[in-house]
Amino acid sequence: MLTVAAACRLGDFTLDVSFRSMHRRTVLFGPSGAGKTMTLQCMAGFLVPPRGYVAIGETVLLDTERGINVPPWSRRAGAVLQGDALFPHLDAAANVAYGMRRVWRGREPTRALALLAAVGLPGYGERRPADLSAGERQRVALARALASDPRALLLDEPFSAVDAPVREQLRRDLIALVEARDLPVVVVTHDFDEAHVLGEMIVVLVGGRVVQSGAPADVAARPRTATVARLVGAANVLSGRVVGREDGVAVVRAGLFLLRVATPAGRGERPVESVQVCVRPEGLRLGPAGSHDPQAVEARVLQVLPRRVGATVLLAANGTRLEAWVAGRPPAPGTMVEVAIPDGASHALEPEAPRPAAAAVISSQVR
Amino acid sequence: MDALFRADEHSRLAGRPDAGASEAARASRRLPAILAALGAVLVLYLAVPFLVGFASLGRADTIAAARDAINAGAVGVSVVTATVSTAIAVVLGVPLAYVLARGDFRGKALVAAAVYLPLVVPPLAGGLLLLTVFGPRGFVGGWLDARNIQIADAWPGIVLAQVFVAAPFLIVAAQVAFAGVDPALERVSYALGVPPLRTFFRVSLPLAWPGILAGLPLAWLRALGEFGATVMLAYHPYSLPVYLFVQFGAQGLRAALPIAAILAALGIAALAVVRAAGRRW
Repeated sequence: MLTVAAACRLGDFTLDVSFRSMHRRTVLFGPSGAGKTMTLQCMAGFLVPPRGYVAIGETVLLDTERGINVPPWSRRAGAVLQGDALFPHLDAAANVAYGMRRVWRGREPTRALALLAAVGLPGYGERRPADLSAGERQRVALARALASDPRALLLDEPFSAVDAPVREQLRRDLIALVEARDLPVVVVTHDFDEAHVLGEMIVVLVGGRVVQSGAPADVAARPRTATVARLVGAANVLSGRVVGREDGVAVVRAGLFLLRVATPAGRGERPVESVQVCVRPEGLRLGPAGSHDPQAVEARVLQVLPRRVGATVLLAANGTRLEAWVAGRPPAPGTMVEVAIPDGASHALEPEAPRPAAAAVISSQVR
Repeated sequence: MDALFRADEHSRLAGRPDAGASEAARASRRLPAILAALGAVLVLYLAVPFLVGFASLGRADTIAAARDAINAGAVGVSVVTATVSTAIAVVLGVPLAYVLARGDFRGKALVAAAVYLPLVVPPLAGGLLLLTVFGPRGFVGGWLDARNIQIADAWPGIVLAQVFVAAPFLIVAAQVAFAGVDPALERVSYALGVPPLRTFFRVSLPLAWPGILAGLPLAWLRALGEFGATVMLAYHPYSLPVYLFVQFGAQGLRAALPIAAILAALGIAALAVVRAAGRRW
């Protein structure tokens, strides 16, 4: 459905991304400065990388090897830039009608009002952008992009300026809208909750490179590197050493814990190899002190923070800091508990990818 | 000027504060007396000559002088040439301003500097330079002269002199106005399938228009009052400033003062028209 590859340099930032998505909803996720917006701009045509390839569906919009570079105004990529960028001199209906193609000539006002209704703004045609709320402006921007009959929608942090409850509603409406129209959509976000809700596929960008991609649940459950683990909220990253192998998995000692973890191919084979292990907070098992669980380790409860369901318990087990999500009644702060990391609650992380060689990419042109 | 518009926007968004709040705001904005005093000195200096000069005008004399100026053709020449000059400055200057505000090309600094060249030299010297090109022996003027098209000492000469001194004011105003248009809006327009030239007319120009409009009276008044370059390039037909100079030389202050009053009246009228147009926008 979507193929993107781009390599370019802007100042001392190097972008070198490549991904393919066969899903309707793709999310570019990563911290700020990871190159998400740059990637989107390469897709929209505002940034022309010296080496790159962009295709939406069957249509090739950029192929530097074959000398194809469709200008932004001919790409119909449906880019909605950061902020809503509504035309302040036009009312809502005129904003929506702005990019309508020739085939709609004469029917623009009717279609504009219909599209406004479709994004949940019936009767808003004569409103000025200045008189709309942030959520309403975002909806108008969406209707305006849809009105241009785009091949896709490219949304850059679309709901970041909107209050949380409205944001929730906007996400649902966006999903319904693109499902109904069978329209591929690419959303840029630094919010993993948003990525999780909106994406059928998540592409994780860090430092200008794709570090992981896949279904949101897979990325959340098995982040590949420590950075991704931190980004998706899998808070526990322990450093340890491989001390042996059992039944095809590595045995890792991390602090007082002895973990049995699956390791990626080719790693964790040699003993005494150091590895980083990700332990999901919901996977930890907490019990009262003094039990005889052989896997359990004594830990002090440092802090208890309520969650919507259950609580987050911060623990220190002989210097190893751990975060556990518990469903039932949490232990009191200051008390001693036993904490165990069951098999299957942890996986080995890969080392962070080295930064790409800056000399390999030449600086790009910005349109 | 850009800041002025934004301030307007803020006060409009903030709505009308109630009387108590505005009282409090006034108290918190009490200005240092020394600053007010310094300002007052200048305002007096700027305004007093108008009061004294025009108060001394006799009504009958003024009307007679105005009739003479009109009969001599000076009022018509000035109003028409200033308007034509401003129109030329708009048609050629607005695109230039856009290029300067948005463009990223080699030599942009040189182009930007060229716009200020007419401001660097006194208009009299500017007129001298224009003569070297458009005078009867200049390479353009001579070429046209051979084809019986007269520039020097004719209407085109007045217009050329006025464009030379007035265009920079319009270009600078328009450049500031274009710089104030969010480039993201132009990019959104591209993304919606509208190519750059149409984007210019549908987004950039309408959004910059209030700022350009604010530059119009500056350019028009500068053209209307243009004397130095005009007197060099086109002494005839008389434009109002040249006519004023001639009358002053021939008959003295009493005869020239009513012509100054006409110029002032035209200037005030131009500002009023643009203000009214701006409010309607």
